[in-house]
Parts: sequence; C-alpha cells; structure tokens
Amino acid sequence: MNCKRCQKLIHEYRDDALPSGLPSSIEEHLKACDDCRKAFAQERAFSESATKLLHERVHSMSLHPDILPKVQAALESGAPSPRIPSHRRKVFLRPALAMGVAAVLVTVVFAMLRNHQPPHPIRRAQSVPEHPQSYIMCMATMYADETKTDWIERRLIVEMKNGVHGYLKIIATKPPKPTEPKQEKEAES
Amino acid sequence: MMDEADIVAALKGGDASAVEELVCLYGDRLLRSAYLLCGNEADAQDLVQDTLILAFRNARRFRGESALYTYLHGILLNLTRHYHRKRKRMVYTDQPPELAGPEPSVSRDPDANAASSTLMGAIRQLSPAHREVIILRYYEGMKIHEIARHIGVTKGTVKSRLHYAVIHLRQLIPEELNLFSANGTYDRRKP
Repeated sequence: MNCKRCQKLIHEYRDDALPSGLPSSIEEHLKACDDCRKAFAQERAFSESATKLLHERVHSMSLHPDILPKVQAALESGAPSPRIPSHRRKVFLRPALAMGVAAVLVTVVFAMLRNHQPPHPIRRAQSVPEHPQSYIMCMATMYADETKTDWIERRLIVEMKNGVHGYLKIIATKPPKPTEPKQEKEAES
Repeated sequence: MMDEADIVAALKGGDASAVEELVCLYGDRLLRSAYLLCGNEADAQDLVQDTLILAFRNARRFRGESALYTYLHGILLNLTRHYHRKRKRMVYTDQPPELAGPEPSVSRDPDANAASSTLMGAIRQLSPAHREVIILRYYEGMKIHEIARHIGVTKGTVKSRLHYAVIHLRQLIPEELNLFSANGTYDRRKP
C-alpha cells in the first residue's frame, strides 16, 4: 500500500465498503505514514464538523403548512407537472458543448470543400518524373514569370497540365554541362 | 400511519392520501436538504412542493430498487439542478437579501452559529456539482457508491468532486474555525 492508493481508498475505508484485506493494509499504512494519518484525521474532523453544523443549521426548519393543500389542489385540478428538462435538452443547452459541435461541423465542411479543389501546383510538380540525368530533390515554386527562365541553369521548366509554369530546383546534383562547344573549339584550333 | 410499502402501493394506485403520508414522513427532511442545495428557504419550499407533485404523478416509474426517500430526493435533485440553471447568472454573496430570505433559526451557541453560517456561505460559493456531493456526503450521510448511483456518475467522479470541493471549502473557511483540524472539531475544543 502506497500513499496514493491509501488516499484514493480512504473514503471507502470510512464507509466500510472495502473488500476484506484492504482495510487492514490501510490501517498498517496509516500507522506507518504520518502524512496519510494526518490527511485521514483532517478528513474525519471535517466530516464530523460539517455534519454537525449542517444539521444544526437546518434542524429547526419545517415544511410550510400550505404546501400539502397546494399539492393536493394541484393533483386534483390536473395542473401540468413541474417541468424537468430532458437529458437531450440539458446537453444541448450547454454552450461549451454546442460550440464544440459547431467547431466539428465547420471542420468537416471545410475538409470536404478542400478535397473538391484541384491539387495544388506544387504537389503536381512534385509528381513530375525526375530529371533523367541526375538524382533530383526538387522544390517547386509558383513563379509564372518566364523572364526568369535563364535565372540559373540548374532549373528546369516544367509545363504544368493547368498551364502554370513551375520551376524545379535541382538540389542534389548539377546536371552535366554540354561539352559539344568545347570539342568544336578544339577542333577549330 | 402507513409504512413505506403501503405508501408506495398507494402512490402507484393513485391514492392522493399517500401525499399526506409523504409530507408527514419526509416533508421536513426534503425541505432541509432542498434548503442546503439551493440556499433559499422559500425556493426550497417550492422545490419540495414540485417534488411531491412529480413523485405522485410518476410513481409508476418507481421500481422499488431504492428507498422511497432516495426516490424523492432524486426528483428533488433534478429540480434543484433545473433551479440552478435558471439562476446560473446569480452570484451568491454573504447575505443576498432578495435571494436568501430570512435565515432559519439556528443554535443559540454563537460560536456554532458563526461556524454554521460560515460553512453555509462557503458551500453556497461552490459549483452546483460540488455542492451536491458535499450535501449528500456530509448532510445526508451517503456512502460514496450511493452518491455515485444517486447522481449517475462513477465512484471516481464522486471522489474527485469531493476532493476538490473540500479543497475549495478549505480556502473559503477561515482556519480559526478549526473545521479541518486533525486535533478535533470546533465542538471538541470546548470544555
């Protein structure tokens, strides 16, 4: 028996509602543990005080003599019963729960609408086959400015299906430069 | 005087005289519990009146699995919850004149009177869920599993609510009242 378990079972211990064996182990723990013994004594002290004070507070109160005639009159006249709200009504009147349900609905609707939109060009660009001469890790951007096609030679223009130009940046390997002009120069020299 | 079984039979048979027996047997007890739960004697009288009407009209639903008082108290508890929902925006203070009404006469001992007033004031500041378990545990004297079945939650929930309610009360009640002293209650300190 540790302190946590002892304090968890302390109310059932006071109620004599524990299975056999547990009360004795709780008593042993209370003998050995000062903190638990103090907590138990405080709980018992408050219980006794509160019970006594609450009973003293209300012991002189009695039902008003008019109540019985009123009840009998209500029963004889068939007046409608006092309304106790149903469970369903009670649940949906709670603002936090209603807001939670609304948030879930909005999320579901948003997700459904988003699924109906065409795929983002970036995703489409990532699905383009890799560069044939190099091992490509690519990142597409949405620049549609074709004046930048000569920006850097390590970029590859990919024509997208929806007409948007995407640029794939080759990160891993620089594609090999053409060697034909050099060979031509050597041949000329 | 009818016993409990006769009263139940009379209620289920639609005998209006059973209400008189209910009032004799349980009227005051229900009123006191209602007062502790709602904090206002006039409203407590109305709650008990409604409880008796509902108990008579719904007597066929009573299956006899609990004591008759527990059945009545269950109806009272539902009505009290409804009462608190209607008055949710009201804030209890020490002596709200329009809400508390006249204080019931209490012990002649001024110390006990002050202590019970302080305790009641602190209980009024608890949330309805915490107030319920405090009243059921310390006034009605119910065991943990009885409270759990009565209010329809698990035993763990009852213990948790009780734990936090007592912590809250401890913050609200001055230490001078010595309600939490392990050496004894306020009553034991007296010679």
